[in-house]
Amino acid sequence: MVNQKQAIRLTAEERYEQELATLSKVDKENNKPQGWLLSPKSVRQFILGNESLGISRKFFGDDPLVDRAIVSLLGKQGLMLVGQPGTAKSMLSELLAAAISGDSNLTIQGTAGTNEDHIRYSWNYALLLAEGPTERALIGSPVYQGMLQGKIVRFEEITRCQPEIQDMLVSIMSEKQMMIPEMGSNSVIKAKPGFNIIGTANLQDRGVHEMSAALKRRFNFETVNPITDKDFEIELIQRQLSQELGDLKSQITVPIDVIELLVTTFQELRQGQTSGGAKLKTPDAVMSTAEAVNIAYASALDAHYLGNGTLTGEQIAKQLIGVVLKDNADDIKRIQFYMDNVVRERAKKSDIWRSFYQVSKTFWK
Amino acid sequence: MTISHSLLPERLSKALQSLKALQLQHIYFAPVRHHSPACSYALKHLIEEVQPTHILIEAPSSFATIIDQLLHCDTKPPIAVLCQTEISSFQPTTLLDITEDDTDDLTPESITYSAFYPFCHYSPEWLAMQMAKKQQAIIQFIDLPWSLQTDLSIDLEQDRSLLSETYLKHSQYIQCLMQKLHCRDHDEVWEHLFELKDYEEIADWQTFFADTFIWCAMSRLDYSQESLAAEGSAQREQYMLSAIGEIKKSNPKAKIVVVTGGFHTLALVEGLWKNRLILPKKADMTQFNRQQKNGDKDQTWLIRYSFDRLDALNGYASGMPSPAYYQTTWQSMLDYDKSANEEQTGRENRQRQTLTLLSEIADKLRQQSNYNNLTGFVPLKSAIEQAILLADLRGHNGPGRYDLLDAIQSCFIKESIDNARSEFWLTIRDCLSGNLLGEVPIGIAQPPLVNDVYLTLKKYRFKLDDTNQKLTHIDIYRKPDHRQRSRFLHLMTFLKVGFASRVDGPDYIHGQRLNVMFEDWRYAWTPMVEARLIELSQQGTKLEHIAISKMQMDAKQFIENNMESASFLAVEQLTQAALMGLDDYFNHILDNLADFILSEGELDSLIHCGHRMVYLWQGQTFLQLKATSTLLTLLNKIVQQGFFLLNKLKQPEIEHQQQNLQILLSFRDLLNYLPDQLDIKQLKQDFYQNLHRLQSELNEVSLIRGAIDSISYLDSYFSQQQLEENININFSLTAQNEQTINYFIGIMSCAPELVIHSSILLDSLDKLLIDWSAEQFIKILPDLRLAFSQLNPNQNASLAEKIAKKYHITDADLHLQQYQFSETQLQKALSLELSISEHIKQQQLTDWFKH
Repeated sequence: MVNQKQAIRLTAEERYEQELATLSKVDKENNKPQGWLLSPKSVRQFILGNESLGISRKFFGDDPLVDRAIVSLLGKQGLMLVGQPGTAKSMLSELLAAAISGDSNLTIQGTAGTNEDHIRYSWNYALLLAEGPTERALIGSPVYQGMLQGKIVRFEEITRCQPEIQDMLVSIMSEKQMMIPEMGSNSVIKAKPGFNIIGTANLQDRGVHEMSAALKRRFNFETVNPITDKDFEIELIQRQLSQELGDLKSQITVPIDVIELLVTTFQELRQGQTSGGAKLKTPDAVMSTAEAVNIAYASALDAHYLGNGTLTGEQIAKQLIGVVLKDNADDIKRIQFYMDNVVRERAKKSDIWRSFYQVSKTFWK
Repeated sequence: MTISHSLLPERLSKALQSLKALQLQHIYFAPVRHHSPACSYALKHLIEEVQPTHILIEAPSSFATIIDQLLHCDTKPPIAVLCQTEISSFQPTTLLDITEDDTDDLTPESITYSAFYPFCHYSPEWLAMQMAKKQQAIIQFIDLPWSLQTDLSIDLEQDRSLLSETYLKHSQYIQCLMQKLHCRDHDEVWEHLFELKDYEEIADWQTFFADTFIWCAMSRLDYSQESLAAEGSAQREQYMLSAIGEIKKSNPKAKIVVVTGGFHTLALVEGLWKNRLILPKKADMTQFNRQQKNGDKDQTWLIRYSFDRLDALNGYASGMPSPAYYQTTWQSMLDYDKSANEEQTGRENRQRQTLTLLSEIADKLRQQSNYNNLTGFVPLKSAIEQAILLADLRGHNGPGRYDLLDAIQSCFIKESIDNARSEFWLTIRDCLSGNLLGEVPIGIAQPPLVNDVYLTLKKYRFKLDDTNQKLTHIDIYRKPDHRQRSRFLHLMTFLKVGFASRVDGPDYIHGQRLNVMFEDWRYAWTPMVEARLIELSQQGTKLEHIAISKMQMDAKQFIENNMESASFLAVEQLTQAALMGLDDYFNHILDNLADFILSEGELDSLIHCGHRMVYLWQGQTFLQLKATSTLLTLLNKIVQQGFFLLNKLKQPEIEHQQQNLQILLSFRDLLNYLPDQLDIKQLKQDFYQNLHRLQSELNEVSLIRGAIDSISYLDSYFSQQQLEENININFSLTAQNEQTINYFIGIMSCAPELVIHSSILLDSLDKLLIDWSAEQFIKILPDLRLAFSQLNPNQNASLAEKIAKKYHITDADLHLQQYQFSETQLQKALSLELSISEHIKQQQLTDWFKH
């Protein structure tokens, strides 16, 4: 096992251990739903922040959505977060699980290869042969564990699984119990209060499966949308960038103009329209805030290790290729169109845009 | 959720003190938000407690003229006061016509500015008036007359309401509150802070109005004195100050309650109290009196209004949205007041309201045609739970409008919200906005025209009780009273009243669907209909008279502009008049029509006119025309005048020829459609005679020549022999290929079948083609193709057969795909293909061929 301290990424409950502790102290007198570690109000504060308690804001852009998500989890319905890639769906589900159950690790990471065993249980075959179907030989899935412990289970990328695998959730969600026929006809585990499922799904990507109506009925859907407020996105990227850079932060200069350039480019390409209202061609590639943070991070490292320590349009231009050029050749034309019609004009007036354009020119010709 | 007073800017805490000080002087301010039930409820308790002698309301002082109507017991909200003022358009200060209506029928010298001032049951202003009536307090409207407000306001393009609240949208203070309270817009902040308080908290009017005062005043602080003056607020507030001061001056003991939009309260409080009560100076009073006199220029009408209109109007930020929702909220507040002893709380009331509304919405959604089972019992139940739990989470006293909408979004949509159908949201919006229509006392309030139209429509048994669209099926041929209905609807349509639109039925103006026996109309009596009628009432008291003067005006303008083609408009008006049942005007036009026809100089317009006359003739039963003999005489006159104008066909330019060809054919059609009572045979004789008289002048006009020859043959004016002779002559003029081809096109466009039936035409063409060089042929090819495009595939096939026979080609060779070919042929084809590709490459056309 990797030493927890050295892990690239800590779980939400580890990262925000302090905040969760503060909240649960304040939360003593509030009514908590059965199986929840925090009251719904505190869960909301954990995600949307509370300045007076020193709780940071972790999800941005759509506060009512968080309210709806928390309330959905209170009921019998599961919660399904849908939306474009990179809109912080998984982060939201992780935060919810951490706040409600104190555990965001009961996670199924859905793929085309996910099978029944990943959702229900499988066996330790050596023990199974030795002892027969006993509890010791049974290896429970995250769903199994969640039911047993009364915790939130996360199911990531649910639409990547085969429809018949997805549908295993239907009866689990409605009956809140799981039969184990191997251990006798009466063998069943019943979900403890606090159990629920948060799914995240992408409804538009290539290679995803349609959800069945029966499954849809058992979930409340929430759509997480990309951030449309430019200033806010700039602020967000700056904050996340400094978080990612950690100690390097002090050694790299990140001019706000450069981040603004990055956000402008992303927002314009995403919306298919320049800030002046001219129509653009929208690339198929995902241009989410998360991608923008990745570009900013990579560019900053480039500036630090290969450049003079100051982030410029040049590095952004180099990194942009990796994001846009994925699998659609037509995207090249679309970016060329943007470069020729928008960026070139701006380059005449602004130094940052000029350095961005100069480098881009060599790539996009 | 009371707003903390400790952190307020100094100006506001001072104003709060002044507010209290003024109460000691018996001046009570109620800073309200328009159409807010909570404000009304607080105001109710204020008035009950204070027992004022005067209630002052922020509305144009000219409303005083209709106060009796407003207080009449038959007046039932939603209603509105329509305020109109006419301002000379030469006045430089007025920039825009805010009514945005078609005002083309008004004299261009002045523009009518109209604005609505809506009231519903839960409007604080309405409640104040009702309570004043009950407690016998004096009601006074203290805002600037509308005629003066139009001078001030610059940005009037959108705001058609006198209750504008745009300032709330743009306030930075409210923006900050939004973020802090996790709300999505200012309406939600308002609901969160005020509407969803417990009933008892709202009833504590001192605290409640102190809070609304701060809320509005904080947003006001974003405005500079200049911008307030520019948008007219400063001037209006000065007027209000004088109005309040005047009462206090003349009656120092008066107990006054002032109901205004909270935005103005700060200025009023500061204006009235500077450590003592400030009464208006003499100069102020002189100005006030002068301005008040301007109210004479206002015209005010009490009209019925509807919830859906109110919702749309509030879309321009002039009050709270979703009237039906807040109507039920208001009702449960009143119920609570009545049964205060019983154990029921605001929370339970709101929960009950949410349950009822959600069930209604789910029911409506289930009735949608493509209902997909997503609003069944389980989703409904979980939506209700969701709304209640959301309210708890957000600290509301029972679910509010946003909790309800959030619950719907969570539980009824099982996909990405961007994919949710627009009709889904429309249904929900309709449920929340409702379509209740108000009532005004019959007879007293309305301009005579509105009353007259309303009664007439009632007489014809139209349903006018709500604003929903309805369909009516009119049996225009068999039932005389139905015909009357139809005429009245046509009359209203002509005047663009907006009451009804025809879905189906015979169209006698354009001659379409003349065999349909019924008319279908969609109609709805909306406030806009009343508004339009009020606008029209400036022109007369009877729709018929207004229609006639509009027609006369149109005719006058038209004749001034195009004297030569007046007959066309005249016939259109004739049909219109017949449709509307305006017999006198019909006869009037009919009397003059002969003159129009005889002075007509355009063949095109004349033939059109003739066609329309024929439509009119066909509708004589429906239209109940009596002057049939006059119609026949006129039709005859049209044809005669047409003969006279036939020399228009001489124009040699090819564009003109093509147009004239269409006119010629249309003329021929007209002759065929003429009623049997006319001597059609004779007229046709005359037609061809006139055409052939022209022949000598048509040397340059071969297209028309061809057309004339072929229709003459078709109508048996020519024998086959004559036709063939003419063809021979025309084709022997070999020098001018274009002329010949045009002649051929002329024939083809009138009678394409001739080329198959008459071998001479084909032979002549064949002969002609053989003599041509390749260049000549290619040049003329497009025209030829056009000519042959008149044939249908069947005709094409038989033509090809004919030609094949002539040249002894076997049937097999005629097929597009050939299977039998020799090796050399293949070689030849391949090398040809190669050289063609080479050629294309040389010309750099490869890309062009690819796509």
